[in-house]
Amino acid sequence: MDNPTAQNILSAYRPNGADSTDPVFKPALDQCANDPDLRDWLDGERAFDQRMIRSLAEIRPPANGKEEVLSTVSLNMRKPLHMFRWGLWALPLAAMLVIGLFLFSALRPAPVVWEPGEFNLASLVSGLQHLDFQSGSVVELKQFLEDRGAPTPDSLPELLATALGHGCTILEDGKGNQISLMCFKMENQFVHVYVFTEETRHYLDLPEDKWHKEKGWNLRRLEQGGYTLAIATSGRTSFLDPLFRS
Amino acid sequence: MNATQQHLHQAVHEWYDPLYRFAISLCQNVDHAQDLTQNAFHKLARKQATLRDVSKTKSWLFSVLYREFVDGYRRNVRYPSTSLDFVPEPSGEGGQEVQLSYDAKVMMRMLGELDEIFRAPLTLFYIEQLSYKEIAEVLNIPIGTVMSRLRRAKDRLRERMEELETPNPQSSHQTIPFPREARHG
Repeated sequence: MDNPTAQNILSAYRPNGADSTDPVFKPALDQCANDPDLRDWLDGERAFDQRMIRSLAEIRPPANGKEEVLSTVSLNMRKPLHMFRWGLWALPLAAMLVIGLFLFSALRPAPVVWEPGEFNLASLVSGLQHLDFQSGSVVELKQFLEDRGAPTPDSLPELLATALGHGCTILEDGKGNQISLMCFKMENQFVHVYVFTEETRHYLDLPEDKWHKEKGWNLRRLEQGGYTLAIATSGRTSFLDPLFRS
Repeated sequence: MNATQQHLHQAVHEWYDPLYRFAISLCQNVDHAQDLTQNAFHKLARKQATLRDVSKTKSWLFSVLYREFVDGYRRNVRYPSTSLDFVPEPSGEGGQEVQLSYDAKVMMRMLGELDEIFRAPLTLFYIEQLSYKEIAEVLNIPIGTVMSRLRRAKDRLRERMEELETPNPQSSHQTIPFPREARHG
């Protein structure tokens, strides 16, 4: 084996020693032991490998990346029509229509309902498992909620109105009163905004002048256009400060 | 939580970070890296029922992410080549910004200069320390090709590093004038 061939093979030799028993590398390693030039080259190669590994290890993934994936993945897993896509393709057209209609009515997500006295915002947001509607457009989210009679302020603070939307859902309190939830993606993290009305704002026990921390969530109340908003985020809050400046 | 969900949660916790590092090394863009990583897990959620060998989840995820990157790369639409002003991500602790060291920035920049066919095997080799066999599986290329691409990629990186680290005698003696505004207030 000539040195260029040995170098080619040893370029794939992992610096953590995981390949020490792989017979593919043995002839090249043996040659290294007998050839000082090749040995020097391998030492340089390993030093370079270590430097690259250290450098790439410095890359920090986004703090809430896993949480974001898990929340959106569970949403996708719950999309009923998606789950049955292939099954529907396989059926004759007539049966497909019937089953499609049945699925649409039967599997449409029902509003989340809780009993009075059970309300806890931190638990509510922690248990958030699905959204009724997903869109990056805040206007579309607002429209979805309005079309269903769910509370939405006439205007949102600029910071939210210009943010990237993520989704929304409608909750009910067991008495038929609705609370809207709008989710936004801001500064690489989720910001959840619950919209309470005159009838439901008594559930909320949150300060307006500071963040309340509970179960890993930062929670704060904001009065907006006759509605009470509850802001919830698990990450940083400093970028949300403009919301609370009158 | 059923077995499918459990498997998914486990996969996210175990592989999100290395997948993200792989993605950002490929596309050199924080937002696109997040999209690529997220999409890979979305595909896993949809396809995991058909994934016969759960132990292959890791290479499957890397492979899916790579294919999506290549599709976008070849279309040259979603992941256009970017400048070398690589922006590091916020860290997980306390939301504080953590800057990459100078060395890491240089490495990332040089990695970004490499052709994608060299960048991908090299990144898999360094980030996850995948074996040449695993890299071949992820990238769907022969083992010999993996070895030669690793060799050539490392050679190119080393050459570039030497260029950067060798002081340029011309530039070191060169006088850089102040901009006009600075000189005259």
